Amino acid sequence: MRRARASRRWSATADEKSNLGRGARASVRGRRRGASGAADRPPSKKVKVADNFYSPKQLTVPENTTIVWKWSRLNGETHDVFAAAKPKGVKRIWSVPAATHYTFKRKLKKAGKYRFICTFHEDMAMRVTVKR
Amino acid sequence: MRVARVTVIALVAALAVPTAASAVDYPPAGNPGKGGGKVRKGKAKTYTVCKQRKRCDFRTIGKAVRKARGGDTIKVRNGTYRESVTISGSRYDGLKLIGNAKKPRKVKLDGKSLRGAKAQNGVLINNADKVKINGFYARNFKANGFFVVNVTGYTLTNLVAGKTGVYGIYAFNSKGGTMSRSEAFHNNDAGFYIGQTPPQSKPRRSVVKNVKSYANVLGFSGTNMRYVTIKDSDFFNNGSGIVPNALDSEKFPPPERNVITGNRVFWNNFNYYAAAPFTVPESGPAGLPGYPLGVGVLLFGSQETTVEDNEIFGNWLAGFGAIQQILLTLEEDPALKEAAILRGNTIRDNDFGLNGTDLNGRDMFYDGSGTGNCFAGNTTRSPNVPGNNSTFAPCPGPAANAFSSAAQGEGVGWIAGVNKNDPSTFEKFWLRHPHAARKGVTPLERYSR
Repeated sequence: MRRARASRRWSATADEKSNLGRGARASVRGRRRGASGAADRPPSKKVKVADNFYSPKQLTVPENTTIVWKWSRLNGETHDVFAAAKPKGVKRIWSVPAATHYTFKRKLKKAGKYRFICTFHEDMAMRVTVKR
Repeated sequence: MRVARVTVIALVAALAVPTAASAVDYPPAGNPGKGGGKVRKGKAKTYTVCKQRKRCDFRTIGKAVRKARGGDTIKVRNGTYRESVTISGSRYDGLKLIGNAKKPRKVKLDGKSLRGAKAQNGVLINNADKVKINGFYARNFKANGFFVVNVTGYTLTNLVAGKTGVYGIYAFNSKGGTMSRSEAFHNNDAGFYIGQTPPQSKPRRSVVKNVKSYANVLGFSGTNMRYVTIKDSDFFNNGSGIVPNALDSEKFPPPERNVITGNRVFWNNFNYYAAAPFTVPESGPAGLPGYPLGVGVLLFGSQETTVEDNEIFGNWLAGFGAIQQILLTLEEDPALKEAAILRGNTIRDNDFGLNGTDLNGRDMFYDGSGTGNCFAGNTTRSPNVPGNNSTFAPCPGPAANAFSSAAQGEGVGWIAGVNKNDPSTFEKFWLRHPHAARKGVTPLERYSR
């Protein structure tokens, strides 16, 4: 569902596609995002989920940053992402248990300190500080 | 596992950096099965699932699960279901998911064409007690075939798990359950796994019986498992057979109070580094350069565990091995140091070498570390390590066993001297003998399609 909405938002119309080259199509996408294109894109940070660590282990990001946890294709173990500590009022954050070929995203809207752990591996943890 | 030619000393040094414990806010995997789930009021319902339109209540298992409540039964007819089934929460306590108990391969859960979360686990049971799963075949999932986590009481029977990314049939942080009449193969870690069992004042035992596990990295693995009985089962053609182990990557070390009895543990010489039907794991347990290949039963740290009445034969490195968890001995935390030690283990009445027709490379290996470990009534036919049998104390075990640094050095050398890029190094210490023919089973050392 989320993917379908995104698709409607960013795709050019059929007419636009037929009349424009690749570069121009990118420009259309950029106009729809805003005048400056990529500059207005919501911030995101990637985190690698590997056996048995997250990388990086600490992050400081502005509010509304999307954290994207990406499971390494080399994993031989099951891992998840669970918010063991988070600011008051933030709903539970918990991915499915996964090994490879999986990505989990959450936008951290509220400032404060978050601590994420793998519930299967006691010392596999990371911290995210979200600043206003 | 893939670290090339590292010495154990370097390895140990790298791994021995203590890490902060996080037990205080370690949440869902705390104390499973508090009970009191919301079982449906009134009579339990039965739902049917099949692929044919309008012939059953649902066409997907997931939809049936969402409709069901604890105590209900979901009957799934033969077919291939391209979905991942999640049973999560106490509202499902006592749910029964029934496929084809006689021919579980007829009811397939196939993860091959799935993506993302749906591609991970065939069946995931989380925080739902006393769920029964009977008669399914899960294959091609990126993580696990059948996965039980944070529950008290589970029944997994007549299951087949193949070609998963981690474990075939897996119970984690759970108290008491049964895995029976099931089969696991081509899994890139263990076919069967029970790990991180919470210590209990009145233990609920888990039973693994009448299962077959073959052509996996390990036949059975149990990191920090306790109160588990593994019996009357076949573990063959794996990298190694049955391996209870103590690791600090999971809670509650060491493995303890387990019983391994009445099993046939044979031909565990699958060198998957040469070729494998699965993706070979990047590393072994605790970052070891590799799991050892060619061992029948290996206690890698264990306490109060009994290994008895097993038939162990045709394993090229050793039929049985016991070694303290050398990496944990270097930890600063006294509890982890303690968890490394072999204490109170009993190895008795095992038959090695199948009446001399299918010998192990070595029958028994024990470094003599720890206390109260004893050996009695075992029938051996190949040499032991140490060769003078100085570590094999009679039962009851002595206050302190007779440590042999030479034996430990030999055992460590088997692990340290391997190089994943050169599969032959995993066979360097094997002592091969002819196998006895066995109906329906062919020895597997090098995989080919």
